[in-house]
Amino acid sequence: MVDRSGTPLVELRDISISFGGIKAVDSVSVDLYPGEVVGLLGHNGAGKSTLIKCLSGAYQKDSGEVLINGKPVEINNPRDARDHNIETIYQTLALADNLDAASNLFLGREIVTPLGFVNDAKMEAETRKIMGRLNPNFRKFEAPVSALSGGQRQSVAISRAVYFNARILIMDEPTAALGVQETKMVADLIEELRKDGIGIFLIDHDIHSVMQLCDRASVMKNGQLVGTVNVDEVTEDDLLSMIILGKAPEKAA
Amino acid sequence: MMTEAKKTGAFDPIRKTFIKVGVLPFFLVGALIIFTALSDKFLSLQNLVNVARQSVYLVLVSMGQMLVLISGGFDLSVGTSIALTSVVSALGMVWLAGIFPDAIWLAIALGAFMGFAAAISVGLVNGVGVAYFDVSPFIMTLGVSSVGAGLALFLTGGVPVSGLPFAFGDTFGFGRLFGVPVPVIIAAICIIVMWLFMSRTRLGTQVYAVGGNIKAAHLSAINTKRTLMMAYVICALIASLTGLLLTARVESGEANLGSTIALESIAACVIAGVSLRGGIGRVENVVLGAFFIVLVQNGMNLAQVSSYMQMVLLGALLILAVIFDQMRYRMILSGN
Repeated sequence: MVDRSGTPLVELRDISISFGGIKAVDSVSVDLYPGEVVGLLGHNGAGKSTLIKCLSGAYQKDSGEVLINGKPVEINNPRDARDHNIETIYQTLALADNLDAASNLFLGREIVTPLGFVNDAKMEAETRKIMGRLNPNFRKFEAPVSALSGGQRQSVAISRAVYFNARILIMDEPTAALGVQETKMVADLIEELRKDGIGIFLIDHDIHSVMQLCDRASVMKNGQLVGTVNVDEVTEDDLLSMIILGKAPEKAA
Repeated sequence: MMTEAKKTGAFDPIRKTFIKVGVLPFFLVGALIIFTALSDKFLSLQNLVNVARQSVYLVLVSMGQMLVLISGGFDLSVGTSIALTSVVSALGMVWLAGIFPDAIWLAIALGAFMGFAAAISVGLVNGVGVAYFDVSPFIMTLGVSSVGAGLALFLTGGVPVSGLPFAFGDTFGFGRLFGVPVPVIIAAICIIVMWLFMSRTRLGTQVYAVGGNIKAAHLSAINTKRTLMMAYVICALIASLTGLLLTARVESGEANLGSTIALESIAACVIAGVSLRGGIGRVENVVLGAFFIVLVQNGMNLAQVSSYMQMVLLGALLILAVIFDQMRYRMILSGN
């Protein structure tokens, strides 16, 4: 059970984001505790990805507050997010196809020698180390990532977050492009990261995987928060009716 | 079926070389065969040394062009950077030599810096337009090249600037150090610096990332705007250096220097396997690509192809190289 007596790791308070007069996110509040996995559910266009992008620095909020460990912070770009140990794994996998796994892992944070030159050997060794832990079957260290399968690409993206000691991890449909075996691998990985006390926001369509992986689920519809529930206390049908009808069950947490 | 299998078997090594290094080795072999057949002077050591010396200027500009191509854009204004540098530095040197007749090297150095400054402003304008205002590199550099060429002509009234200090041409145009021509030494240093920059520095790696997937680069907290800016500024700076060397060679400041070099440098890069989609390209190949272009020009001269026909062939060669680049890209994508 997740301990929710302390300060939340992340608190998004009354966040609103508009695009050209349309409120994509309308004063939504969600929070996340250490070692917790919170699912964000909703239809396409419900605003879940938009909401979370103001935490990863890809979008900027119009109003509201972002608190990390209880302290209000300003996140204006991906660099700010990175400074707060927030790592994001994007649905579209933000990888540079023309580069190999090591270059992608260290993209923007290349290891350099004392002379200031890029240390390729060290980067590859570190990549082998972390991949050995996350995806022992990974072999294609030399090839550009365009030559990798969906799961292999996903493991490169995840290894990046893990390597740089993320405290807060945002996963945008991490299993969308994956096969059964690879989905299982990602699920195991989430379990392991959670044990390390990392807080995870998991954006997903699939109610089943949210039920399985998450502690709580926040459901959004038309830019508004329908409600946040403890996954143990609701059925899949309850979640479905929240998503489709926008009706929160009686015992919403 | 049998014959088909046999055919792919025979062509397999060729295919693999093509996918790995691109079209350049095939073009080089082809050019060597054709021009050796056309002229017996072509393959002499003296001629090849001559080609190497002539190719210095294109090698330099092509390395700058490569940097911009890898970042996902291109620079049509390299010729303008050369012309502006030539005119501004020549005017500066003549003017300063009049003021400090006893300190001729001071006049040369200051004049050179004025030329660099002019080219850097060309690069800055390109970079700001592309990185901050999202103008397409094509329009941005095309516009800037017209602006710069106009300015260069306006400054000189279309008349070459003469009366440069003799020391300038004697050193940077025709000088030798340990028997090696000074321009060759400068180019060699630039090649080494550029190679280190592209493959051994963080900024170099980030240029590849920006060209490969600018969104991913941005989300990985790379300052993509600054990276693009830098690519255009360095390109202009290398072009400027080339402009100085050319000015020293012709011993006058001319507004029509480098008028064909934009096309030639892009051709050299594409033939050397630099992708027009960005993110792919290697310094050593580009040096060879530029050498190849000059080699072909030299071969055509020896074979007495008229300079008008040379333009036709060069353009055709560029288009051919792009077509092969597309084929290669498709082959890589289909995983062969």
